[in-house]
Amino acid sequence: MRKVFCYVPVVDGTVLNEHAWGLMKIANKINTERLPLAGIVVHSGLEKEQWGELPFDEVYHVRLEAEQWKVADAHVQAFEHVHHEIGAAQGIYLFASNPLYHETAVRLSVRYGGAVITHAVDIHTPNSDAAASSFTVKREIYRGKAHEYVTFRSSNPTSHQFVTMSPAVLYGERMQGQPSVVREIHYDNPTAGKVRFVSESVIGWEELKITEARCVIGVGRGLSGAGSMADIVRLAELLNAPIGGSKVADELGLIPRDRRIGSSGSAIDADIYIAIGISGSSQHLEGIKGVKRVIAVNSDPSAPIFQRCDIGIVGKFQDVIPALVAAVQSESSVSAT
Amino acid sequence: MNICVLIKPVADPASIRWDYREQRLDFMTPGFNRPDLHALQWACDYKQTHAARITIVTVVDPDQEIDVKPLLKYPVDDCIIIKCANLSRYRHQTALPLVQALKDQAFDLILSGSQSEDTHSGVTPAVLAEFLGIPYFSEVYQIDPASDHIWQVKRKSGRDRVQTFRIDLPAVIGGDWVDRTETVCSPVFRGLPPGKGIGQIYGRMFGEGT
Ligand SMILES: Cc1cc2nc3c(=O)[nH]c(=O)nc-3n(C[C@H](O)[C@H](O)[C@H](O)COP(=O)(O)OP(=O)(O)OC[C@H]3O[C@@H](n4cnc5c(N)ncnc54)[C@H](O)[C@@H]3O)c2cc1C
Repeated sequence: MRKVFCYVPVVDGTVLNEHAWGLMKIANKINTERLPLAGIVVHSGLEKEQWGELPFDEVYHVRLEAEQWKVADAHVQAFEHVHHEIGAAQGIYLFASNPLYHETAVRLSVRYGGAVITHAVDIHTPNSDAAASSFTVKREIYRGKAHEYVTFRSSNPTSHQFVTMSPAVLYGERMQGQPSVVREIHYDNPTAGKVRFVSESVIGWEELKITEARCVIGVGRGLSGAGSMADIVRLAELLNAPIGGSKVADELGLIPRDRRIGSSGSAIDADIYIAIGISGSSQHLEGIKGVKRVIAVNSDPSAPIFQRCDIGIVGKFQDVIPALVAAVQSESSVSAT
Repeated sequence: MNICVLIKPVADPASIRWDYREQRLDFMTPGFNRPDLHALQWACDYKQTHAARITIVTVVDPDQEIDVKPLLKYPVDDCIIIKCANLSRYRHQTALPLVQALKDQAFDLILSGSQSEDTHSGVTPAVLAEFLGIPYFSEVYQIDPASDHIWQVKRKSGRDRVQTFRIDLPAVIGGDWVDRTETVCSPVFRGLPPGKGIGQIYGRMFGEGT
């Protein structure tokens, strides 16, 4: 009998990550023995009210200093402390596989003499009444060209099993529950490790890749010979948005080649894409399939980009962009006060 | 600075295809894990401006033929090939023969890619560090010396942020370096320095794993 534990993912130590609900879904799926599900939350300042609403039967939470929380060494020590306090028997421990949690899970697997399967995309149980220990884990190999199915060897049934799940498969509706056990585990500062957090900074829009940014600006032929890009650059600064564009923009030298968006360039998955002076050819739209929200600025109301956008502004970019800059500026000064 | 670079032989993922008739992967062109080669490239760049000694270490199955010539084009000082049975079966345990081979050597820095291009596990460097009792830090895209035995590393956090950490050496660092092998390096075959050979160590698997 293996109890399933979720190492609940937290953003910056203070906000529950949406991956938590995805991890919870996987945990429910593999908990075929219907043992109490446990959540281990190592954080640096989550709101107290949240503990009673987490969708687990048991919640164990530990608070670390904000700077320690960013280092895997502190998570390893916190986990060991929780493990010692609750006297957990052999279990299956699910982690999200970002670098911090990945390092933590792999190191713990060594410390507990267990085994680890990383970057899993799914976990299958052979049939409804099979023991959880016989599950198979699906992983991508060779850059996603093939899948492999792996399983833990059963020669040592008492050891712990660690699985890290690829964040790409961790999504799910926010869940609420009423844990019967909510226990804070006090852990005074872990011993100073050999890795120390120094600082965090934002990557500026000029260095940020269009494939990694939350907000991307795209420019097209509509800008050619139309004077200065100063307002667009100002918008890029305000939104920390790198500037990419259409094939034509690339050929006109408005953007570097590696910033072309579309079927013969990069595919982006930004939260917001602002298309300026871009008609919206099928090849260009191919590159913005993964974008959540599109804002289009175009002087031609029949431009196809308006079929793909969430907010469309018909007008010359020379008039629209300064107004947009002013609006963003006043909005940011409101939120700064 | 005594630098060790772990290099994993892998089939080139770009060439691999699924053979539907045989129901297996085919076109397995042998090569080396590119993230590891980026680590090697970084070490070679460092050696151009600082006193450094570079040892490359690779672990292979005893019956696996490996051509290390491409690796010896880099200015390395030593090359250790560890032969170890059942590697593909117990691949999470690649770290164990590495521990045996490296535990008595005074490396300041052990570098590799954070993941291999075949299995994408990211386990070996972390397990190695844990067994050696030294820190491990992954997904690093920039490293710089802060002082003799403290190095500064940067890694991306979320989409648009960079976190900076300091690490006491010795340490294992898994890189997420940008692809520079083709642009920066056009190595020529130099061979190993006089008196140096390609060492072969026979390792052994034990314990449990996946
Ligand atoms: C094989 C192949 C691959 C291709 N790959 C890509 C690709 O990867 N990416 C890509 O983008 N294209 C690609 N293309 C090209 C594509 O077909 C289009 O030609 C291109 O996307 C058009 O770029 P554009 O929108 O900048 O220019 P246009 O289609 O000329 O559109 C310019 C737009 O600007 C508007 N405009 C003009 N003046 C203003 C103003 N003052 N203010 C506001 N709006 C204004 C116009 O109304 C017009 O809608 C490819 C083509 C082929 C054949």
